[in-house]
Amino acid sequence: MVAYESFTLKNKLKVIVHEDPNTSIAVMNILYDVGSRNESPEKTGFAHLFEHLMFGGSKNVKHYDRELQKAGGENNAFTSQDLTNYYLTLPSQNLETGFWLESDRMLSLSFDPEVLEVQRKVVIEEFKQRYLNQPYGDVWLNLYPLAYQVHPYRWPTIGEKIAHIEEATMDDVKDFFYTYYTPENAILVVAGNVKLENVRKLAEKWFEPIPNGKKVKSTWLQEPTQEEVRIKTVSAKVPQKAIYTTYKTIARNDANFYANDLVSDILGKGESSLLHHALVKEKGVFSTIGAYITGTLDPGLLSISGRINDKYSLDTAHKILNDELESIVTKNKITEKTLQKAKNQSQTQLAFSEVEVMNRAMNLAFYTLMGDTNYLNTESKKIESVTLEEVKTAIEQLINQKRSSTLLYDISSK
Amino acid sequence: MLDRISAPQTNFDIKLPFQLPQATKILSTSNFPFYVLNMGSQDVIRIEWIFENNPEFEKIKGITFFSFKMLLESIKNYTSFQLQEEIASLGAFIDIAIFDERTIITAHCMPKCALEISLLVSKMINEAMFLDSDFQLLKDRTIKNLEISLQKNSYLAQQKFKSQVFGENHPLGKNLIPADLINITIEDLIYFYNEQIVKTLSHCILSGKIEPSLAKEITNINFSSTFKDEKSTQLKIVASNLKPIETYFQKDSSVQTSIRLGCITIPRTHPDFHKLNVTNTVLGGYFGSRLMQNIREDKGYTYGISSSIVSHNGFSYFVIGSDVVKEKANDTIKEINYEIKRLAETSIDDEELQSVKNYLIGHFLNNINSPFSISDKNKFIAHLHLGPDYYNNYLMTLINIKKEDISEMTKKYLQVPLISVLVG
Repeated sequence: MVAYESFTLKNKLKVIVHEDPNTSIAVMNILYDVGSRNESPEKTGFAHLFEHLMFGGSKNVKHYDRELQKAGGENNAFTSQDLTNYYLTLPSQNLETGFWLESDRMLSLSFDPEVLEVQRKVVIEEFKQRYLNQPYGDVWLNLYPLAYQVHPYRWPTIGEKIAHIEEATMDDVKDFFYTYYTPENAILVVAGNVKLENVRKLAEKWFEPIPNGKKVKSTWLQEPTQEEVRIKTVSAKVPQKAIYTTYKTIARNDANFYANDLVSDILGKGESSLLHHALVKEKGVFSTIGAYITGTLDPGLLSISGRINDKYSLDTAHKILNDELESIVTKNKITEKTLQKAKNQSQTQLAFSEVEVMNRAMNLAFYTLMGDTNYLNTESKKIESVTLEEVKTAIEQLINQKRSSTLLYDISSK
Repeated sequence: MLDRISAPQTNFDIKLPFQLPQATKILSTSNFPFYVLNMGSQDVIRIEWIFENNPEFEKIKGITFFSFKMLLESIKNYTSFQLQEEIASLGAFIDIAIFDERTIITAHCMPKCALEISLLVSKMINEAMFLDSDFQLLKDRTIKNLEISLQKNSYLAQQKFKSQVFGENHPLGKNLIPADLINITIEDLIYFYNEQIVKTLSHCILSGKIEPSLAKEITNINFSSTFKDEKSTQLKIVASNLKPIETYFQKDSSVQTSIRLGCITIPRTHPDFHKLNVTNTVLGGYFGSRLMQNIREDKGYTYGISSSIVSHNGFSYFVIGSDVVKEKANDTIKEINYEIKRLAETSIDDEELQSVKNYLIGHFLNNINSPFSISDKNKFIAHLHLGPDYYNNYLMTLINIKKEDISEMTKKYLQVPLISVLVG
């Protein structure tokens, strides 16, 4: 049970406080309700580039990192398709430094052109390091646009191409800041060795004077129902052929999320999963196989991927995978025992994810964004209450070839 | 009017001498040692079984890896699938990690299944079957994984760097290639299992929410029938090359170059170590470091650059690593050497030093927050023979270190002939 209190400032910034006296540190997590799904198709990768700029100086503080380090703090941030999340830890007696720094960059950035130039280069190197200079690194650059044709999930968070990062301007930066980095668009979680009343005082002191911008109701195109099988083949100098296939699934806050999540675990989590057992151990077609669901706020994907043993062609392996999925559905291969096993592993992971106070703070912020802070405390029950019937319905709906998009990854001889 | 210009007051009161919470040592009836750290409010437990490796056996490259991984395949009364299913049904996760000096089997689970998981691990250790069919699948998979790793510049650079520093015949310097693994046979593994695995289990560490009654039940399990004493592997090193060598492995298809630069350095037990550690932090050990500021934040050549000191029992090595714009690789090396020279010759200013000290204190506090991180620190002290005062001495160094120390440490340990490897 993660206990918390919450309040809202006059500028509509939501604040959540989770006291944990067993630690000597304090953590702050600020989530901004903006991710790559908010980007325009001509300017992809911008939310993430912007995250880098948040460390390049704010109105009154030139060096965010340096000031935080002086107070004994450390920090990081990440951008996803749905959100941008900043987090820091400090010795709890120095908590106010976190308020000073975070409130100043919510107030205004310094918009230093040199910072943009340097971070542009850094992000391009990140793009190369993660997506271009790695075996199979470009999978999602290929697969997202296949699975999504209109929704902004069709490009990865890093951006569709390097050119978009090269073209970003300071006007874009300012627009983005004033549109999305407003108090009303943010969720602040303060946790650890902190006291509610003190956090309230600090929040009122540092954050309340920030004027609330206009809350922009951003909209984007929703993906229509997919009605055809999509397959794309690429080739690269990789050691093994591979298949990456996706099926359309539901959104993170759908009531059936956990049934779908458990289906993905049953199919492809670990060596006792159905696909691993059938296709790696029994048939020897794949050398690895795994599955998960993306869990995005708009309808997401079930991803199944595996590397293929040399003696099977891509097409044969693809057919064998599809047949296996089909037979799991039609032959009722999911039993009470299989389901209970997946639940048990889920519960253990959930318990471990609550060990670190920083994780608890992040989860509180995420569930607040989803609309129910207390979701965190009901997750375990939600997992436990999924029935075999629900799992069977979920898998029947999931495994529909007309909702599938597949990337066949071949070995190029070049 | 709210002052947003000046930083709020901070303080760094730490209660000294610092006492790391200690695990309780419990001996089984056969004198097998268990270390139990009962801490934390979440219902989670981590159990680790520590085996001391014997580098002699690695004359057959990869044998330690394969032999241990086979413990997660078929065992008496369980096919490999049934074993995996049993582990998963208990809601547990078991992992086997092979390090240079030791191998660790780790189980993550909830208290309600900790006893059952422990019994299962005992069976894995003592009743493994070593079936050739399991082994062939594992071997194929491992070779493919290795082939993928060998396509990664950062993996290659790290491996080639260690070969240069320690020599290709040293356990740390060996370059593993698929051809090394192809000829290993199941008989090799069975020999290793009987001579090595069952005999080298050294101790067991339990951390998390372990009530005394549960600890008692687990410590009653017989994990090793041949246990004699706790061991601690010490790898020998020969004096490394004292000439700066630069090796460049060019890959036309690469869009980035992976760089490693470093040398062998003093062990953690050396009186200068903590001061060297702070010096390394200034150079490249945190986000605000000299290298990050220069190579990333000023020039934008890379997504990240860092330097670190990796410690083994009796020695350490210093290494700087980064993936940079291909055309700027040489310039990066030049800038790294410039930063080392600057740190040696120009006194660090008070503000920067204070900032690093504060950062390290905060970082330390942040890393003693869970039963697992505390258990890791205890384990680190034990495996590297650091003594009970290690962390207190570290904190004392953080409080007392002076700017002269930084340049002195740089001159003594970092401004030395470095070995560099570039891949890509």
